[in-house]
Amino acid sequence: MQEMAAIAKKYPVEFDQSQAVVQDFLSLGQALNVASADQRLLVLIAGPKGRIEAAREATRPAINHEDHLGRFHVDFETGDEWTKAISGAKSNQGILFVKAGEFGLSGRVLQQLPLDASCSEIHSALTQANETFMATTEQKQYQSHIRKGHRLGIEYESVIPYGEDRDGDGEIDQKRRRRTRR
Amino acid sequence: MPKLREQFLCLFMMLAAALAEAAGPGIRGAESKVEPGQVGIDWYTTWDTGLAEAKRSGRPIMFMAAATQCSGVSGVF
Repeated sequence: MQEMAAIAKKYPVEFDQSQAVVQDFLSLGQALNVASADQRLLVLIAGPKGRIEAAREATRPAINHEDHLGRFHVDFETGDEWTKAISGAKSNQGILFVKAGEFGLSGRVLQQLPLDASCSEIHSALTQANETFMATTEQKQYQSHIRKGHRLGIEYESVIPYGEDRDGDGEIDQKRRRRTRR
Repeated sequence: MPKLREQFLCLFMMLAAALAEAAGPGIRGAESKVEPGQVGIDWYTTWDTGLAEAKRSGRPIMFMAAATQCSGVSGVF
């Protein structure tokens, strides 16, 4: 932390936090996974492309409010594909406050606002939804959580194949090679 | 943490994530140091958004990349 603080001192800047670019993910699957692991609510902003681009700008002040920074993850989605993983949505577009499932493979809507909700409405909904989330979410014990995932056969497909090139042949070895007993 | 967050732009490239190990803020095996819904690091999770914000705000990027293979590295997951 001290080293980070020393580096940061070299870059004294002033900027408007309320207009910061809003976070996005490469996919809903990734967003659910990270929200589940970080134990944060996922703010899913879904709708047609044109309206989503407008929402990226319009939601900045609410999402970047100091009360909410670092408490949520945010994902923007176009189309209807997201509805396969998310239950409880009232319609296929809007600002949805989603609680990710235990293993981040699905999600459930706690609250939903229209895409054109005002910043003050979003601000209040973020506060309310997070209070519900905190009151109903048990803190994860990562070791037992991972063990349970392995036991249940939970798989997460990512862009990088699982494993390492342990023998240096240029191919990813999926599993640790077992030593042969002699 | 909040002060550093203001000065740094934190970009976490989720190159891969296993189960829900990804971005777990503590050492593997431990419980998270951050309780559900409490303030953690305000990450950017794509290069495009992180770079856009770095240019806008003039802040340096603290870049972190990790893959499922890193699950045994203390402090990463």
